[in-house]
Amino acid sequence: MLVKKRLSEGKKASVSGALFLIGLYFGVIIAASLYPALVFAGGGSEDAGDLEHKVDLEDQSGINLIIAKLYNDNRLLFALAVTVTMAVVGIIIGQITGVLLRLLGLK
Amino acid sequence: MDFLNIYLPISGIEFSIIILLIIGFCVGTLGGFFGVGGAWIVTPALNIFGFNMPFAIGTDLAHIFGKSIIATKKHSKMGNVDWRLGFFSIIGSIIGIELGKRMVLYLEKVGNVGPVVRWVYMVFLFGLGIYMAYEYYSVTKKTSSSHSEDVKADPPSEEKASPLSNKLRSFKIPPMISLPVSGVPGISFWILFSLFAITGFLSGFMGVGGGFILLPALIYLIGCPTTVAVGTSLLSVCFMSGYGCFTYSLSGRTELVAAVIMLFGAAIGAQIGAMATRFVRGYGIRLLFSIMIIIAGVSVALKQAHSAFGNAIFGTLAAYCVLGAASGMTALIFIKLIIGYRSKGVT
Repeated sequence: MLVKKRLSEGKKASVSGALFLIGLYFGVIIAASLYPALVFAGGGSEDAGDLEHKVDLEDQSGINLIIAKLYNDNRLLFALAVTVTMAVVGIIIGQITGVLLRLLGLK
Repeated sequence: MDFLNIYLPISGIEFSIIILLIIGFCVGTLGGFFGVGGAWIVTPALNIFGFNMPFAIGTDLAHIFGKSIIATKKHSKMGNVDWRLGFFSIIGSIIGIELGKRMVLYLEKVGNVGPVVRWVYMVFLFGLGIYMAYEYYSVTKKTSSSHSEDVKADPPSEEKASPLSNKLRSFKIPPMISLPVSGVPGISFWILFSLFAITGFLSGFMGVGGGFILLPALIYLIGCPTTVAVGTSLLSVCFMSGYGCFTYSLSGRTELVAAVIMLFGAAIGAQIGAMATRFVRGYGIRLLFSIMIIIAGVSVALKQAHSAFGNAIFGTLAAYCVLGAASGMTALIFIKLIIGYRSKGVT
């Protein structure tokens, strides 16, 4: 009973703490939006570079050549290939490492 | 040691396979344990070792996508994924992220968006980290005071729904949705949707995957048990990073070979991280998570100092701060797992 009572007292403090944090957070967003000059530092995003960039195929071979060709010829297909490859490789590697870890006794 | 280097065809640089594997392993372990993507660790790490920033982000997102599939699958087997809740989180997040992005575009027009985002980031990281650490401290203190002096003061093993989540559940605006996996008998669809739209907004505004925002939201606002929050957060990260991987690849900023190599390291790490959640109780995970995000906050503060004073040392310190924290935390999780397995108990 004592524990319950103390935990409930703690919970009240937690609620007010959480509400304070949420309020503070959105306050900062609004203040920063309205008065960007208040923010003292410069920053900005990094240069994304040339989107029409082409890869030199001369020194490429094997899998690198296939990837580079795809990259140069069809960017949409390249994006699909990367996304699907990561998903498939993720599933395969997950299965293999799962088996390996089981063999090591980490079930 | 040239055989340990690999030529990356798109960015045209040589890179160490060992470094890629180590980065992948560390972030995989942290991702499996905390339910986060870990973009804030991998991006600066790749950047330090030679990737330019757009390639670092794109490659990072590609690897996180593959890794989160592995970790989600693992958590799903352990019964830690609430698919229904995950579905709502994805729908709400998509709308929220779009709104966050628009806010950033508006800020771009009004002033300099970079530092504004960084300040918001800092407030969020420090505020949340300190709050979570404080919560752990107060729960531990209360529990220890209720025990006799010679009993070890551990936090309670059974997690209870936070008062904030109970308050949110009390709004009975139809349609009501039950989430049995998360132990939520009924919560309004509109509450759920609004919450995820807000967390999505924050993700879009800060330009992050959203795992470290979603995890505390699931714990404190929905009232999920920590392990279910980790698994469900990973499901959302999986979807978001998949989308990010695709768009960055479309812009030609993904290095597939590097992402696959990192994935090998991450695959082992993600399984280890997920397994370690069996041996560290919910409050323990929350404490470690709070430490991690406070350090991330320090790193962002150093970056801001770098921008403000133009001294490169702050930028380098910021990156090494994140790397040090990530490797240290990975080692700690690994030790917890070993100890847990040896004792077959829960630490």
